[in-house]
Amino acid sequence: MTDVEEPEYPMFDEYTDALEIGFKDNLVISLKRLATFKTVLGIIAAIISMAIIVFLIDFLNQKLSEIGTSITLPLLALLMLSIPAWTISFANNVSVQKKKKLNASGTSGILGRYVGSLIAGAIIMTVIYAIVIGTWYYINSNTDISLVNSYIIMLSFVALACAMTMFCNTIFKRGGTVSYLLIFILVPIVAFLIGPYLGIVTMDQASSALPLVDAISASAADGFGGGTILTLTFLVKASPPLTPDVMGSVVLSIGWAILFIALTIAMQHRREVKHEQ
Amino acid sequence: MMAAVIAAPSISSDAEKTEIIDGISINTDDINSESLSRLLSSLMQSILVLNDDTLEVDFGSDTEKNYSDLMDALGALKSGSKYSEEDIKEVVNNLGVLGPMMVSSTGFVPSNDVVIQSGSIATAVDFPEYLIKMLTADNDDPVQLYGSGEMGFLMDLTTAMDVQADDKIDKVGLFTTDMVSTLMDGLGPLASIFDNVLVSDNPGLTSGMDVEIGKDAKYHAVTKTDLAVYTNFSLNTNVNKAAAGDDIFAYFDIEIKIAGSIDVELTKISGNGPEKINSDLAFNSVDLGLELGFNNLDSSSGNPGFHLGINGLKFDMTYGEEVDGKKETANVRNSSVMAIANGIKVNLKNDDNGIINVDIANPSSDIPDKERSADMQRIIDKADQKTTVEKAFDPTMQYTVGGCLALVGIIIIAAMAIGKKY
Repeated sequence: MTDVEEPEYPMFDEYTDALEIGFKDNLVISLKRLATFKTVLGIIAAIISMAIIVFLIDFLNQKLSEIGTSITLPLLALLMLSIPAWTISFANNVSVQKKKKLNASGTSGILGRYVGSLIAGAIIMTVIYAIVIGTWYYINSNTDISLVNSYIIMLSFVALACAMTMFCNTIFKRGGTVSYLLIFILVPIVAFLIGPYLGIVTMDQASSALPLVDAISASAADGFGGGTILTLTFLVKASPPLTPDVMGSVVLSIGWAILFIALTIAMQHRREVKHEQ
Repeated sequence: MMAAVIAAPSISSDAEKTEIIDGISINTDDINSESLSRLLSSLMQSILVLNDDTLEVDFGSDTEKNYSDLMDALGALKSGSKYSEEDIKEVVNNLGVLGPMMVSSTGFVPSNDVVIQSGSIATAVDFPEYLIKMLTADNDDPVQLYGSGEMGFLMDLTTAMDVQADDKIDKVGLFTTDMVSTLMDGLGPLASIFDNVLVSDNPGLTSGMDVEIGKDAKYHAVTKTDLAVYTNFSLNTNVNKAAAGDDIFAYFDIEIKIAGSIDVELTKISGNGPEKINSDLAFNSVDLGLELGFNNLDSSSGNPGFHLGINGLKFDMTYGEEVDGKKETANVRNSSVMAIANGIKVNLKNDDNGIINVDIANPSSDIPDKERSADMQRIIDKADQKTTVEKAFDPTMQYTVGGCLALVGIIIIAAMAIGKKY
C-alpha cells in the first residue's frame, strides 16, 4: 500500500489545480481516519455518555418518586435513539475533514472515499452497538431486542449517514452539523408535515419513502406500514431475522445513500468546473 | 414528537327529525340508539344462553330440520334449559337478523322465522361467573371475584330471513355508524386524533350511505357468515379476601380476536326503498388486548399503583356497501402510529420506598384452573387458532422508492464517470 499522505487540498484555491487520486488511495484516506486518536476519543465519549444516560435516568426516577408518582422513563428508547446520533457523529469523523469542504476528486476518488468511510463507520458503530446492547442487558437482563434486525438496519443507516455527510460537505464546511439538522430535524418535520398534519400522504407512506431515523425499533411495529419510523418506543419485541420490514428499511436506506453519493459526485464536479472557469 | 392535531370538521351526525304524525316528530338519533341497544341485548342474551356449555350443530339442506335441530341443541344446554321456548326462539331468530343489523342497519327487526340453509355452528362459552353476574345484574349470591374465561365462536352459516324496517331508515351502514358519529360530535376538535389512530381509505363511508327506506318496508335477507371469534379475560384480585395490611390488588385483562366475514344481501319484498342492498364486512385481522391493574388500593399514602398494558392493537377491516348498483368500499385499519403502541406497558407507582417499575402486572395468580370438557377446549383452541392472523408486511413501497433512488444515483454516477472522464 502506498503511503498516502492526505493531500492538502487547496483544491478550490485559485492557485492550484485539482488533484486526481484513485479509488484505492481515497479508500485508505478514509480508513486511516478510523485509527486516529479522535476516533478512540469518540468511542470513549460514547461509553461515558451511555453511563451518564443510565445514571441520569436512575437519578430522575428517584427524584420523581420522591415528589410523587413515578414514571419509568424509557431507557431503551433513549439508548436506541443514541445510535443514530452516534452514527452521524462518527460518519462525520470518518467521511470528512472538519471545517473544510470535501476534498475528494473524481468519481473513483469520491467512491473510494465513501467505501472507506463505510468500512470505518461500520467497524466503529459495531463497537458502539455492542456497548448499547451491553448497557441494556446490564440494566434489564432481558433479551427482548431483535439483535440481528437492529444491527442490519444500523449498518444501512451508517451507509446513509456517510453518504449524507459527504454530500452536505460539498456544500457546507460543517457537513456533520448540517447532517444532524437534516436527519433529526428537517426530515422528521417534512414527514410530519406531509403525513399527519396536512394529510397529503399517510404516515405509513411518508415513513416508507423518507429516510426517517431510528428504524431500529421498526421491528416492533409488527409489520404495520412504514419501515423507518422516528419513534420512542417503550418495548422492542423479538422477531425472526430478516423480516420483510427490515429488508424494506435496508433497501430504502441504501437507495438514499446511493442517491446522495451520486449527488456528491455531481456536486464536486460542478465545484471543480466552476473553479476552473 | 407529537402528531399534529388539526381542528378538522368531524363527521357530523344528522339530528334529523322524523315526522310521524302531523306536528309530532321524533329525533332519529333516539330511535337509532334504541335499536342499537336492541342489538347489544340480543347479543348478550345469546351469550347467556350459550354459557358454560358447548354447542355444535351441523346443518344440512333440510331447513325445517335445521331449525328444529338448533332449537333442540339450545334447549339442551346447561343454561339454555333454563329458558322458555319463546326465549330460545328469539335467540335462534337473532341468527338471521344480527347480520343485517350489524352491517346494513340496526333498524331491521325479524318478520318471520329464520331459515337456516346450510353450514355449521360451534360455540364454546366459558365465561367466569362474575362476568355473568355482572351481565345479568344479579346481586343475590356473593360472587367469586376472580376467575378467567374464554369464548370460542365458529360460525360458517347461510341463513335467510324476512326482515322489516322498524321505522324509517335513512342510512345504511355499519352498526357502529351512530356510535362513531355521536362520539365524534362529543369530542369536537379532538375527533381528528382518531384520524391518526384508525386510517380509512374512504372515510365518508363510515357515516353510512344515504337511503330512503320507509317504515314497515320488507326485505328478504340472505346472510352468509363465516366468522371466528375468540375472547379471553381474567380478573385476579384479592379485594374480598385480603387480610389487614395486605397489598390489595386487582388485575384485569381482556383479549378479543375476530377473523372472517359477514355478507348480507337484502332484496325488497314490499314497501318503499331500494331494490337491492348488499353489504359485506370482512375482518382481515382484529386483535385487541388490554391489561388494567391496580394495587396498593388500601394504602395509607392514598396513592394506588396503576398498570396499563396494551397487548394488541391490530385492526384491519374492510367494509363494502352496494345500494342498487352503487358500490362503495372502505378499508379501516390502525395506523402505524398506533401499531407502535403495541406492547406498551405503563407502570405508575408510588411506594414509600421509592421503588420504581415494580411489576404489579399479574401477581402470583391463584386463579383456579378450570375444568373444561374436551369438546369445549377443542372449539376454543380452534377459534384461537383461526383468529390469529399474521399480517404480512408489505414492503413494496420501500423497495420501489429505494430502488428508484438507487437507480437514479447509479445513472448519475455512471454519467459522471463515463461522460466526462471525470
